[in-house]
Amino acid sequence: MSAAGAALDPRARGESPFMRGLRALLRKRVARIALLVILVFYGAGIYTMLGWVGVDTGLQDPNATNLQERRSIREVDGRAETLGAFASRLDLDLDVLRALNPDVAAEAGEWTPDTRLEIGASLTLAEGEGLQGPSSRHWFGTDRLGRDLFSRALHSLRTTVIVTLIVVLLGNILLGLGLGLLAGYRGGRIDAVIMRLAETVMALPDLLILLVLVAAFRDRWDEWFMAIEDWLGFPYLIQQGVADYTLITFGMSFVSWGGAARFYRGIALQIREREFILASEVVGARTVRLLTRHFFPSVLPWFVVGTSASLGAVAGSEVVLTWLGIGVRPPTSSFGAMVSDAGGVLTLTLHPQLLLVPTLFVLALMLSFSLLGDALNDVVNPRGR
Amino acid sequence: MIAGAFPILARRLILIPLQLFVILAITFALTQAVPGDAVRIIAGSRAIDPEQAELIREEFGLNGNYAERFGDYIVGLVTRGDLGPSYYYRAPKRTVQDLLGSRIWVTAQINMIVLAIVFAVGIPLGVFAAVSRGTWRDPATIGTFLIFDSIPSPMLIVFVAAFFVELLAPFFGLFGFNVPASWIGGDPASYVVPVVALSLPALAGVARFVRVSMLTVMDDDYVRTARAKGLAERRVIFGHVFRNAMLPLATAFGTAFIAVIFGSIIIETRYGVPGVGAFMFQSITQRDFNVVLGFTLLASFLLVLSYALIDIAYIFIDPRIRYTARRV
Repeated sequence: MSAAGAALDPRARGESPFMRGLRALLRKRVARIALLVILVFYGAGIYTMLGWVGVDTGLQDPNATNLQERRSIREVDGRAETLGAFASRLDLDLDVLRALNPDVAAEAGEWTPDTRLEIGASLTLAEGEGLQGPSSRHWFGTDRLGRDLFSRALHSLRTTVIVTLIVVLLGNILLGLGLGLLAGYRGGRIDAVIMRLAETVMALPDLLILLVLVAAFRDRWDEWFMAIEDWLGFPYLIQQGVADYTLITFGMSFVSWGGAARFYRGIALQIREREFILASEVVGARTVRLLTRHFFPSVLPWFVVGTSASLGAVAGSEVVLTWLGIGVRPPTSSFGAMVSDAGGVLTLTLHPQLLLVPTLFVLALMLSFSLLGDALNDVVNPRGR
Repeated sequence: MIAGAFPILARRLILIPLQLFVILAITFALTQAVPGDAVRIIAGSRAIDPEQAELIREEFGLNGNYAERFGDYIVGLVTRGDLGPSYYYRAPKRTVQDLLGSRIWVTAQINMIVLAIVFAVGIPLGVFAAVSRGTWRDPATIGTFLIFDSIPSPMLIVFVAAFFVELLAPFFGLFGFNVPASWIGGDPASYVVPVVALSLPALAGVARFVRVSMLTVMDDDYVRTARAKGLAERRVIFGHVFRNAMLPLATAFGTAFIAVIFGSIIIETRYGVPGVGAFMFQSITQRDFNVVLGFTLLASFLLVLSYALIDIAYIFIDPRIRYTARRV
């Protein structure tokens, strides 16, 4: 990866390199489709967040279970209770009960408040919607607990959006890009310290460290958040998954910044020698200004490529972490939780929607990130296409 | 031997124990930070009085502060190769090296088969895609494997299992061969699902790497020269392009190796393989931290070693690379 490449030379046309790059990108059909999928998915994830500010999203509650409910006829004074007593005990309408239990009604013959069924006879009180296939009411069907899979998938996208964005902001931008550029620009002792740290982090076995990290901090983290909830007087932070989001994103950022820092440092080393850096140093620009106004625009193309690649990886890690039981916890929706609910081969053949829905969503998203990353790489680095 | 390579080699190899030490120190600190007294974990549901607690502390070396305990751990490791006792398997008492040792073989077998498949299939796939650049065959090849790479392994393994257990069962049945839906000890057919589920995503990585590597070289001047002097295309590709494109493959090997090791944790847990990966996950839930430390040491050792070997391989493979005292 040598100089920024001809496609980024701002002198070629009176257009910013960013716009030129975007134009070149959108000329590719694969990139257009991938970008569309990503935008739609992220849009859907963000749309579900409107529920937090009290807007009615029209989506079903992803955690509303809808199970078949059955109760048995009790024994009262040595004989079975009447249907009337049964209905009033459970606050039910007799006609509805009859409609829900046609077989029992047919066998009993008559269906009046004085009818007595056998003791222990079981009646359906509510039909329930568990394990349904796709229908107009549930577009993607329902899971074992009768939860709407479409709504769950969209709410899982919310988790994906939140986790990927925080990890990219924290791990890639703040730690990776920031420390990498700082190390490359300042050199010397700062460089040595940052790079030794980065190498150590890179050598850490990510998944193992995350497993232990979550085991070590989850309880304490929850306690802190309970304290924060008390202090704010806002008791929904843990319930809405904020504690989980922060814990796993901090953990993932911590184990993932090393590679990015090393990469951006390498680029900063090249840029450091260019004249415009010297020029601003001569006029007395400070480090922060140099990094944000001069280095950052110069690494922007690579930054976009790197970010696109890591977004997909982060989304995949979150699914795996949650599947292992160390990511977000119920009631927060996640594709990982949907997969662990989906079971194995037998369930796949009987109720394919349980596994197909999360798989297709994750597949579409991660494939789009990969394809977009490839297309971006072609734009930024035309050689090696 | 390249002149001056030895000090670089020595410098790189000295780094390995240092890195391992730092990783162990971090993991050790993390396991110590897990809430709950280790004595409670060891005692399980039994009620214990302070005397028994003291005995347990003595037996498992839980007295002293972090630094002392970590020191003891390192001393035991270096002098005796001892990874400490398991907190969970106490009757009869088992050591971590014993527990890991009895499970490592099945994991190693699966991983070696997977790596062999990944490179035996992935390299030809990448070459094929690169050679057919500009036709539909290139995106079709890479795209297919990209799909496998885009499905997280807990999902992928169910589809792989369904494919072999449900779809191919009648076909296998003709040969008296049945792939089980979860691990059955002593049944060689049990290897099929974990091996395929681990290979598919890693294949995409290697094939793409080889493809890009080939394409980068294909534009070089000497390739044009080779074509210009009238060499057969086959000889240009395999004599000139392929040989040079294979140089960076050492990196791909490292990446694939790491992916397979971590993939093992998930695949083994999901399929019920009695290997170290599943055992590691089980130990975390059981809070058996000496096992966690032992596995971390094992995995990091392989990881750090493969990084080092990649660096060293570069010195010998590519004479253009010179590691100087000043790290750039």
